Order: sequence, then C-alpha cells, then structure tokens
Amino acid sequence: MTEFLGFLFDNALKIEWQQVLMWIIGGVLIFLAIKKEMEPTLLLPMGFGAIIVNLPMSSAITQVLSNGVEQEGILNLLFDSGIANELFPLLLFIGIGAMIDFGPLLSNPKLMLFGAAAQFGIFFTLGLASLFGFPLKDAASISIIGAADGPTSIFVANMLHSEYLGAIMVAAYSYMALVPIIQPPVIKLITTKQERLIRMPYEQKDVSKATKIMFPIVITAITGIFAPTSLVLIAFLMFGNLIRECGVLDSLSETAQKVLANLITILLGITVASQMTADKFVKPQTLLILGIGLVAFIFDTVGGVMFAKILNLFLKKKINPMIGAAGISAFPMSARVVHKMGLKEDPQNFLLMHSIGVNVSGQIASVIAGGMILNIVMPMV
Amino acid sequence: MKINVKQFIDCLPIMGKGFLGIFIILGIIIIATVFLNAVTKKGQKSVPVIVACLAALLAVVGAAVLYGFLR
Repeated sequence: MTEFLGFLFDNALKIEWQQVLMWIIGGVLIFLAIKKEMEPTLLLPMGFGAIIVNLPMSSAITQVLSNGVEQEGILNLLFDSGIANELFPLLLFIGIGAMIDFGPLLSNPKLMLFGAAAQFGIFFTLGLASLFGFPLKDAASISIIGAADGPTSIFVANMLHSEYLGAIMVAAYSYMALVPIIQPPVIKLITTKQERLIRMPYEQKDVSKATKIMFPIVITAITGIFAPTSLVLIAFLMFGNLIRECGVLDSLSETAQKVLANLITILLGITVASQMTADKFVKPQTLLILGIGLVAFIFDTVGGVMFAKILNLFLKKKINPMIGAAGISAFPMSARVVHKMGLKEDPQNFLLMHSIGVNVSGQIASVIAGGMILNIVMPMV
Repeated sequence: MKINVKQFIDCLPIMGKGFLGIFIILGIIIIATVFLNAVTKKGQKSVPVIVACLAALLAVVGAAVLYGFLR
C-alpha cells in the first residue's frame, strides 16, 4: 500500500513553498493578461511558463533524474537556442521595425531629443543599482528595464552575463504592460493643469519616399559607428522598417509584422519563463530588481517631461510637456496614454501624432542607450 | 545587500558619459534626417539648410579625424 501511494505521491511531496509562490505569481500574470488585457501576448505565456517550470521535477526544464542521467528540458533548449544567443529578440525587432511608421518623426526630427531625454531613468537607475551593491554588470542590466524595451533588456543582460536575467525580463515586460497605470500619475504629479492644456496643432509635412527608404540605412550606419555593440539591434529594427518602406516587399512586410512577430512572441514569453524557477526567482534581490526597475521607469517618464518643461523656458511656441513622457520604448502604449491624457484635459487637444513621433524616437533611443551601456560597461567587467 | 556609496560614485562618470552620448548620437541622427529631408524635398531645395547640415556632419567627421591624430 505504502509503495503504491509512494508511486503516486512521491513527486507531490517534493513541492516547496517557493514553488507554490511561483504558481501564484504565474496565476497573477495570467489574470493580468486576460482580465486586465495587460500585454497579454507576453504575460500569458510567461504566467503559464512560470507555473510549468515550478512543478517538481518538471520535464519542461533540464532535470537530473534519480539514475543520474541529465534530461534536457525543452524550455532550456529554446532558451539556449533562442535567447542566450539573442536570436528571438533580434527576430522580434524585424517585426517591430516593420510595424513602425517613422513618418511623424521624420516630419519633425527634433522630437528625437525627447527620446534621448527619456533615457534619463536608465542612467539614474544604473547609479541606484550600484548604490544598492549590485555588481556593475548587473546594475547596468537592471538599468535597461527603464527603457521599457523587452528585447533590449534581454540583449544587454545576456551580453553582460547577468545572473538576474529572469527577474529583469519579467520586470521589463511587466512594466511595458503597466504603462497605462504607471505613467499617468507620474505625469500629473510633475505637470500643472495649464501645461497639460497646451495645444499643439499638428502640421502635416510631406516626407519623401526616398527619405523614408534612406532613413533606416543612415540610422543603422550612424549607430553602428558610434555604438557598435548595439548595431545588430538597431540593424534588425531598421531592416524590418526598410522592408516596410521599400514598397516592393509588401508580402514580406506583412509576414514580418504579423506571422514572424506573433511566432517569436509565443516562443519568447514561454521561454523567458524557463528563468523563473523558484530557486532563481524567489530571492530578496528579485524584489529589489522589480523595485529599482519601477524607479527606472518612473524616472524615464520624469526625464522626458522635465526636458520638455526646460525647453518651454526658451521656446515661444510652447510644447505640451506630456509628450516627453512618450519617449520610452513601449510603443504605441505610451503615445496612446499621452494622447488620452491630453483629450481628458481638453477634448480638442490632439497630441497623438506628436506623441507617436516621440514614442518611435524612444524606440531608437532605448536601443542606442543599450549600446552606450554595453560600450562603456563591457570593457570594465 | 549593502549600500555601496563608493560604487555609486564610481558609476557617476559612466552615467554622465552614457547620457551625454545618447544626446550626441541622436543629435547627429537629427542632422542627418534634416539633411535627407532637405535633399529629397520636391521642388526648390533649401540650400542654406543643406549647407548647414553638411557643415555639421563634416564637423563630426573632423572631430573623429582629430581624435585619430591625438590618440
């Protein structure tokens, strides 16, 4: 009888409270994805993955069996072949590049300055994480969470061999999903009602097809010269955009935007979960990383808004400082949040085109910020 | 996890360099974009804008050459 029960329940007795905690975290991620529709394409696979990797002796991840044989788990295999070598983030960038219309940015290139300013949180957080005693390579990896750019976070953390890859990925993608919750109160706190009411009429300027085609090539070349470590990131992003803008590869562009992006997203989410095992995740450092990541995200928003406020001191034609908050990489959520906030203050204030321009500049700036961090930090670690 | 003030102070130059670096690179990208817009514009080209952008881009190249000599 005992033998029979042992056959059934031996594995169940190996359950630890940390694993149960991870099931709850997985459940919360699934709840947020389905009920609150927060970045469901990523949070749902991550939540489900968090549950399956934390079942005792889960065959989804690599296990050493009782006979000493190592059985490779499919999620570890996917991790090694798709994330450890940066393949998935880079392929996803082709899809993202194909989705982005740089038109609003090209018609007003000055908006790129907001993208640069909104990377303030990254560098502020680098200092903060160092202050909390994280080694430089981990502090640099944690700081990129502020860009709200999942693929860049994965890329940088991997290149720097950070041991907190799982927590960093979860934080980066969760905060991307939480843009509509985190940004509005921060923006309201640092702007006055008068500032939020500033109207910015949009003047449609023609951008030639030649500019749209040459822009991704020129950006790639410039970034490659100044931040070679992040060249692949910007190159794949711009390659996707070139496919979109060239006008002769519509079928490829559509595939990159839909099929490729969806396929990679399905695998990315569940593969990220391979790093969410209780032994790696349930640590005080994880909570600290989530906290510091939130600070990074808040200070990115603050950086963008404050930059607009500083510019307003010198400009005759005032800028609505809220558009500065869209300088993060979470595209197009951040632009939409700013647009909605503008409409809420004044139903005739349409900030969408400006905020979209700033938002796509944030996409470029966050990749360059990742490259800057790698350029500076890699030789030091 | 201990508070490490020395490590924070050591990080300050990295923070400054990185943040300034982004502004410089994006500044160059802005100039290149304005240049592209001006050159590919239909109708009459804005020569002063093209010349100013070219001068700025040449200044960047000049700075790189100067760095090469000084190194």
